[in-house]
Amino acid sequence: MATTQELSDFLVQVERRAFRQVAYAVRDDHAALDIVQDSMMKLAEKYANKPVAEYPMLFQRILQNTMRDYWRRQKIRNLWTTLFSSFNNDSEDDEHDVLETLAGDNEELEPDVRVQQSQTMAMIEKAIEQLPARQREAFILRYWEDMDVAETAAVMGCSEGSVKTHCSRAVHALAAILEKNGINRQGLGR
Amino acid sequence: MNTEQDRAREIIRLLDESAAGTDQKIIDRLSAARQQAVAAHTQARLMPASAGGLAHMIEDYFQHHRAAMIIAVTGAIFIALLLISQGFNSNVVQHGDAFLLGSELPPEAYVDKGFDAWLRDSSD
Repeated sequence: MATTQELSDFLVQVERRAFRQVAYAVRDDHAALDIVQDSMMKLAEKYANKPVAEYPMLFQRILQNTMRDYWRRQKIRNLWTTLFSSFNNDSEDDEHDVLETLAGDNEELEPDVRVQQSQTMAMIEKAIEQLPARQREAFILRYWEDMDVAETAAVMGCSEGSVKTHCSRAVHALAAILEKNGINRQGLGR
Repeated sequence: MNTEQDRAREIIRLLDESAAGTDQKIIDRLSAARQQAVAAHTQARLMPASAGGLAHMIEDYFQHHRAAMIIAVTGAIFIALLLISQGFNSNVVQHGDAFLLGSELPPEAYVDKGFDAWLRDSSD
């Protein structure tokens, strides 16, 4: 059974990545915060008696389920909005300037290097948003959350072969998008 | 595969840098959410495992199986109506049986249409 301190330490580790992961998927910072908050509460309330070693997988599964609930509600809400209102909630207006969320931590770098790095990050984040949902899920769980293939398959509810396929396609798709925008391996490695 | 993993790790490194530079307002909200969760965890650990755990399992099951929930609610309403209906009929039957058994006249007297006339004649 995880202690309260262990839960707190775990959430500190994962909260920013979880927010980014959800923000890439739902493309709405406020909704992403709500989803992460709901997921934290569900983990704390419903799985209080689980050991901390199980928390990474449990939290990811809760996050995925909560995102699906959000999309389900959005679909119904959009259906009613379309039927009864001419106002269209255009998600394209919801763009935020990614550069505003990037750190000023790299102040020791030259301004043009900082700008190039910022542009690279923005490009990568946009590329991740454009991935198909399952490929993005597999890529983030496998490489960002550092889960092995079996754990990723358990969270996604698919076979290990599917995980490998999704990951491979995601990496190739990201590489293609980045190269199309002029960012090669040297650009990434900086 | 190594090339794929190397490429992925390079991308992840940049994602980590991006996450590290998250806006302070977002960080504050995440921190507040974390503190709420930690408080909820403390409460949850104080609840009896058997009652709380079972209740959560049932709640969780029905949250993710809406069809099962609809069937369960419909079934409960149907069973309740059935029980109410049976109870009503039972009352009527019991009242009828008790009335017949308690009276001094044989049951056949109540279906005999000439009984009223006999009663008048015999009381004279």
